Formats: sequence, C-alpha cells, structure tokens
Amino acid sequence: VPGEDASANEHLRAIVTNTVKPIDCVEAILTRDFVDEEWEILRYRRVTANLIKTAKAKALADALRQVTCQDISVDDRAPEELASRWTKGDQDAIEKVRTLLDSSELTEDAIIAQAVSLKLDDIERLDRMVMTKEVRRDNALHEIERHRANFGARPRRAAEQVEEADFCVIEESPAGEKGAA
Amino acid sequence: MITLRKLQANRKNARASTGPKSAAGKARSARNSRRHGLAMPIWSDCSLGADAKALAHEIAGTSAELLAFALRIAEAQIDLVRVRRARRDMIEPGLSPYSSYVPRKRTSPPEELALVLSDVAPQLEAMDRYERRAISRRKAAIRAFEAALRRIASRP
Repeated sequence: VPGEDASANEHLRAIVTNTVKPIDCVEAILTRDFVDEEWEILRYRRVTANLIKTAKAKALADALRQVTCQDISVDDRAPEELASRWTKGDQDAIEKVRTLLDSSELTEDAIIAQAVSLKLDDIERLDRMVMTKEVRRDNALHEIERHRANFGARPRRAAEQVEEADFCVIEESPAGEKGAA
Repeated sequence: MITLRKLQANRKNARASTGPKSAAGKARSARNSRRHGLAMPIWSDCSLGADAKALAHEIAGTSAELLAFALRIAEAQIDLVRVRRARRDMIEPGLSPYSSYVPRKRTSPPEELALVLSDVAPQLEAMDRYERRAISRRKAAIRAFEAALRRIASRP
C-alpha cells in the first residue's frame, strides 16, 4: 500500500522464510499467509496510533476552548491554530498549551483520552480486525506445524521401507583389481 | 379504463425501454450491480483460472493422482489472493494524489493512510467473510491433499 515501507515488508518476509524454511509449496503458501497476516496486524496497529494522533489536535482544540486564560496573546486564542502548532511540535505552542492545561488541571493524558473517545468507533473496529488477523496468523503457524508433522511421517515411512527391503550383500572385490565396482 | 390510443402508445414506449441493445451495452449493464466480484468463482476469469492451474501443478509436482487435490488448494489460494487484492484496491484510491479523501496539506502519509483506512474499514470488515471462506476451503483442501499423499505413500 502506498505510504508503507516495502523494504520492511521484504525484511519481515525474509526473516520468517529463513526461520520457517518451507519444504514444499503448501508450506510456502502458509508461510506467506503468516507474513501477510502479521504485516496487516502491524498496519492496523500503526493506523490506530496515527488515528489517535490525527484526533489529538481536535481534542486539544476542544479542551482549549473551555480553558480561559488572560495571559495569552490574541493570536493564540484561536484554539485550532494553537492545537495545530502544538501537534507539529512548535516549542512556543507546547509551552503555552502546557500553561493553559496546568491552569485548568488538565494533563496531556486527558487530551489523548479525549482523542481516543473521538475515534472510539474506528478504534474498536480496527481492534476487532487485529484480533481476527491474530487468530489467522496463529492458525497459519499451526497449519505449518501440522503439515510438517505429516510430512515428517513421510520420510520416516520411506526410511522404514528402505530398512525393510532385502539387501544383497556385495562381496568385496580383490584388492588391486582394476575396474572393480 | 385507458383509451386504445394510449394503450398502443404505452406498448410502443415499453418496447423502446427494454435496456441496452448492443452487445457492449448489454455487457456493461450486466455489471451494474457488481461491487467487487468476489462471489464469482475464479474460473469465470481466464487469467485467475490459469494461475490456479499453474499453482496446482506446482503443488502436485509430477503426480497426476494428486493434481485434483492440488487444484482445490490452488483454487482457494487464488481466491484468497483475489480478496486481498480487492482489499488493497479499496484502500489505494484514497491515497492517490488526485483523491479528495483527506485534507492533504495537514496530514503526513501515515496519517493519510490512517484516515483512508478508517474510512473504508466498514467495507473491509464486510469483505472479511470472503477471506474467511477462502481460508476455510483451503484448509479442507490441504487436509484432503495430505490424506491422498498418505494413501499414496502407504502403498506397498
């Protein structure tokens, strides 16, 4: 998906493939599944974090609107403007916001909580999607283990067949004879 | 009771309102209610069918006996890939530079993805049942394939 790190995806794929070492096509399919599910889990978690980040400015602006402070300049009275500068990391805005929040006994945690509540429906949905993906990722791993256990039986069976087979004893050829097998 | 003249006019108009006449028009209108096409079997798409056959041969190897079992795995796998592709196609348009989904100037690319994804999340969640079915079918197909493999391996 655009905006995502393709090299990180390749790196994850390489790590998992090197660890699992798929021995056949079915295992390769299941390994790929594991990587895809894990990647989507990481995506949805990043999305949840970024969603809260996007809502923080609005949450702060809402909180600032309720805060009254005579010391701030007229420009800074626009809560959206101040909140926007605060989210961009503007030091001056950060200081002013801290003063304003302190004056009303609010903390940054309260702003984050407000941001979460603004996006609660979306976060809950993403959470459900992550849970589904986690189950599928674990199932893919379980399927690989089960498939490998079945395939482990096949070489064993082959080995048994070799052991049960009749062998003819090849006598040692006389020393020094040329063309001896 | 309507007049004969009106009845004839109605019938004439009705004959003129029976949908597209050309083959291209009929083909287009046949896809009017199509949303993502995930309910259609993969064999209705030639390229997907060819992909499934190629994958089946890869899974079965040289064994003709295993091919039918491998084809079931491949069919479910290609179906799964199709669902995942449809999901990506649902997200990507929102991230295009020409999209008006999100206020671009105020958001970074990860935030854009978050806004777009949260916007299409209900559709993605609804699409999940196709993925669940494909995974379930693939699981059953793998079991059947393994059972066939065991039968072949246990032959004297």
